[in-house]
Amino acid sequence: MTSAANGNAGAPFAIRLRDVRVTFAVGGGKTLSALDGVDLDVPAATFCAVIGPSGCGKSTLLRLLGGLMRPSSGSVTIGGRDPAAIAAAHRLGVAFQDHALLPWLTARENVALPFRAVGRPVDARRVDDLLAAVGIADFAATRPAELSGGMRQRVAIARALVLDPGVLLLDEPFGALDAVTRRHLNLEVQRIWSEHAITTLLVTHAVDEAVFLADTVAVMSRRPGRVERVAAIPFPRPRNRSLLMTPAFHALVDELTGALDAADNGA
Amino acid sequence: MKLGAQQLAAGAIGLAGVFALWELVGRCGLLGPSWPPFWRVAAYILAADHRALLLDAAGQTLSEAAFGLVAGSIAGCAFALVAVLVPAAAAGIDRFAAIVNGIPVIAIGALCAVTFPPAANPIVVASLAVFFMLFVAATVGLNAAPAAQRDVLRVLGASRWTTFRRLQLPAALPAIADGLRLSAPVSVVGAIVGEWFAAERGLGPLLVNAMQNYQIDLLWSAALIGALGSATAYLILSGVRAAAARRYLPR
Repeated sequence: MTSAANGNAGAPFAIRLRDVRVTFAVGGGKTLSALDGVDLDVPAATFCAVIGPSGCGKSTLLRLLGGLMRPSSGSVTIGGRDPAAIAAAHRLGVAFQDHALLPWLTARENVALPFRAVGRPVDARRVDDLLAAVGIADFAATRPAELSGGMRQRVAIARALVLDPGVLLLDEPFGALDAVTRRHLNLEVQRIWSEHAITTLLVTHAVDEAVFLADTVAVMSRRPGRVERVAAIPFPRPRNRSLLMTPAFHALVDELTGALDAADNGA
Repeated sequence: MKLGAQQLAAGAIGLAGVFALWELVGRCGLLGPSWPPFWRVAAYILAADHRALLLDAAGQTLSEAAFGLVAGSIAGCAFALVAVLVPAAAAGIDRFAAIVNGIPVIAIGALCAVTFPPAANPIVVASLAVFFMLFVAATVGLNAAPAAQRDVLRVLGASRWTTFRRLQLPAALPAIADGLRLSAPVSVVGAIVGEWFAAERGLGPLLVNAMQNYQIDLLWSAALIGALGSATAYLILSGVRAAAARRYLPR
């Protein structure tokens, strides 16, 4: 899993949002403000988690970065360029809460899909390395219907990483999993991430997940969404299970949970 | 989804019930002399001197229906393809397909009879009858892939064509197979209607002649064979649909 594995690896990109506003027309001449002046910086090769109450525009933020929509005003850039251009250059990786695996493909074929999607020859070794890294090498020939929810998300994470992206976008990828599976996958993502350090934006509503994985945690307020606070997470990497037991970890989780509550009630 | 032994047994019991009721109504003469008992019709079909005539007619009509099913399906899928790949053309194609569907099959039969050679007419009518069903099925199918799957391909920077080939087309197969299954009986109706106007062979002319000459047993035999033919095609294509759904639908 060298970062030069598929020939177009480059340095990870920085993410930059300046005064980003998104409004939707909701009929009857009314508009709904989803994001209202969001500023956010994610330096290259760092992990940023965005937490916020439901409906705060977290997923809208991620769709902007995936080039799936444009802001009504303000600027969104990845490595100084338009996210759609980064997507067109095949430099983004993404995993959603809905695993979005293709049901007619095996786990291995799903992980290889990005190569086919961008018209490159499949790097079979890279695919197998990633299947092993996310712990599903034994299920490579299995279709998603026969995999558990946690295994499907492992495949989805491997698929997001296979093209060695400059930015990784994660939209509550473990949101539908049980607590035990979720913690297990967080440990593995942490391990894999510590080896690669891809610029990552994780959207989640789980504060402990955010604190465990991220370098910085951005707390968003309820609609219209704004970044209320950005907290630096001081714990050194690699982080492991024992961190979850420390008072410092719990104190930070409690503090950010408080900030989240305030953001939820204050708006 | 799957045609299990239990469903097959239920189907056989249902079919036996229909035949038993038919027999009862015919035996007791409940609906007059033009309703023969089931066994008399069955015996008529199996009798050596009618068998060749009926088999020839059935072969003729069912092969026309099969050609019509294939041609109509290809046309329907092709139109759906253009509508999906060229959004600007979608509204126009949609109207056109709706208008074609709005013309009664019997009117299409008459119009085609004065336009096409008699031999081609049943195939043309059958394919026009099938066209709309496959157009709708393929349009629905090509838009059936979940939004999250499309978003993944868009974020990866996949081209329009790649998205179509890798995602939309395979995701459409269950809906297309469903359309095919529902179209099978429609294609038989289309072929028979097409035959009424000009053809000399097939179940259509047989039905018309039997009715005009009051050959009750022949009339019922031709109707029964047509029904069995479309039911068989429906069953076979149901199996295809079940296989497509098993593989291509998310569970």
